[in-house]
Amino acid sequence: MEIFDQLLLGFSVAISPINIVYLMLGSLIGMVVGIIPGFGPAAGLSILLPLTFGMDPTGAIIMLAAIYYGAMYGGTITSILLNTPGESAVVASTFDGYPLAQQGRAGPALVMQAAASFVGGTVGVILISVLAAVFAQVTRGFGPPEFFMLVLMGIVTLIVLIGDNWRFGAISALIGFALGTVGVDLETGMQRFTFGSAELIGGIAFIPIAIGLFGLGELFYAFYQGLHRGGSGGIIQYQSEKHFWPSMRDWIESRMAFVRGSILGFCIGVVPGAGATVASLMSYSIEKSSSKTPEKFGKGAMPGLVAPECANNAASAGSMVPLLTLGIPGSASTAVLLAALLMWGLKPGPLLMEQNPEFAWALVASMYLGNMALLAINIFAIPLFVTLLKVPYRVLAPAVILVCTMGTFSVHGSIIEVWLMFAAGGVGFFMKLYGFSPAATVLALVLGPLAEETLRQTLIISRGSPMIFVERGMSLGILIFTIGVIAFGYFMNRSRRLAKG
Amino acid sequence: MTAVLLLSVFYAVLAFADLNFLSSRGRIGPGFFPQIIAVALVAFVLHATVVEFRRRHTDDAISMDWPVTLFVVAMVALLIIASHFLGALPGMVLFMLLALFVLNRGRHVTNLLVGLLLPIGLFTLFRHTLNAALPPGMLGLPF
Repeated sequence: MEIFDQLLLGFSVAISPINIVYLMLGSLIGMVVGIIPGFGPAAGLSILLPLTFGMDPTGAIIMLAAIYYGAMYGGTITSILLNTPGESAVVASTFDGYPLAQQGRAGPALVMQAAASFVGGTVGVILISVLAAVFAQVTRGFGPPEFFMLVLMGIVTLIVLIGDNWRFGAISALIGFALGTVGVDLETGMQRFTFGSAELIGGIAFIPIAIGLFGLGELFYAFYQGLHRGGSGGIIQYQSEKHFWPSMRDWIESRMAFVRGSILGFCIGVVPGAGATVASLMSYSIEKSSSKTPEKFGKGAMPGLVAPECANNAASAGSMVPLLTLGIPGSASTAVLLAALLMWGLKPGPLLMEQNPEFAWALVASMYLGNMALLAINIFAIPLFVTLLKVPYRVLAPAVILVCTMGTFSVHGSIIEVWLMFAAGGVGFFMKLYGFSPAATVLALVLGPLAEETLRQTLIISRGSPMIFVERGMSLGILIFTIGVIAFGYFMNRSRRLAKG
Repeated sequence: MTAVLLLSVFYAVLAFADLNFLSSRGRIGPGFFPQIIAVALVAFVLHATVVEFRRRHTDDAISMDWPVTLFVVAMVALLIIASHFLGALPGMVLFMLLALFVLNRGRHVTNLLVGLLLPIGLFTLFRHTLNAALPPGMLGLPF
């Protein structure tokens, strides 16, 4: 009952005309971000974050969250029509989405992906509504050892799930931690790695780094890959289809995929470091293995499109749980959202829902509305996005560069930060080129100061003994889970290598 | 990999040379966390270097368009310099026109329209709608 009251409070804040405008704008921008190849929600959020500084915090976060989950919707359009996933979380949607389009069933595939995204997103938000308060209650007993273990778990999970390139993932995360140590040490007041520069005393600015790594870095890499040379000739036209809507058989075949994909996606999304990509790929494999006709998968099976779509949208909702209740982002996108929250003076954690219920519940309520808006946009505005897909990358990219550059300057009015963004863009390009993980760097950059602070506090509490991590129940539980993730990653990599021979 | 190794060693040297692991009172010092990170970073980079050397990794078959990539990088640098000296709007227009006339050859009308209208639209959005700061330039121009 209390949840219902809180949700009503959230809706009363979210359904203000200006917040609805922000929500619709965020959903549309998110869709656009999603369909630009190589641009994920993290890039979109970093680039557009400076544009929200003039807004009130609730409206701004509603818009940013809509960009985040809107990108999940948008990314699939290119997966189905172009066989080019907008970002990694929708790779699994190409497996059956594109074959469906090739068979002249692009219309039903687009409608079903919209429905699956809606179901996944809405189930995710319902689970947030129910579980976020419970999570907040449980985590209220967390102390520095538990928070340190959670940070470690998030980073380790992200690294393990990178797969064969885990060493580069670990190096990327350690680079992020190293960058996080730049600035004044808060306990002793001593400057570290500042080289006498006043600009570095406050630490490495997060936004220029995020925009550089995700925005410019991705863009340089896209040019390097020759994306600017490609036209839009590969787009499958769907308007000429006689049957735009899915058949009853499509719905019946996919009914369990909706349920399995949504629940699995949410559960994976809640684990810091896992995220939408893992959720969608895992959901696809589970759907295939539990299907009576697995031979149809990869050749245009509707459940093969529905399951990963439900999963990636539910996962993006799920990843909001550790962000809101613990203040720990589970992915690069939620790391950008965390930076935004901190910038507006909101401290996510166990007390956020108690101290700022209007804000927290307005965000949750807006996600219900956002999913409904995105469902409608997805089905009825597809021609608009297909038109946008036809804009060549060589015209789109300079426009994105302008937004990156001016957006970075607008944060603090500093040209030094613009140069920092430029340098981060170069680093991001080389990271992509050599298989490093910009996401791990950004996540570690955000979590680094928290990791250091909680580790120091823990060792002060325990008088230097690391045994405190296994003496406290919660901390031990997180440690065991982390070891389990490492073991899982090890065996997955090993079996993959064995399969390759 | 060599560059990453050198940077890691540089970070480690600074972490061990300039920062103390423990403070004078015997408590955890400012070098505690950086030194742990430095050791882990150098160890992982060395390990990755050895593994990569053993694999003798060859470049994959993706299209490698270095000239265009370098051109875009140079154009971004030009945009930052031009905005800093000329101001946001002239810098943006200059960048867009140059970038489009090289990347999107032969479509002069489209390039001219996009190159002028997009910067004006963005300038209006940032300066007037969002009231955000934009590079003022050194010439004292109103845009």
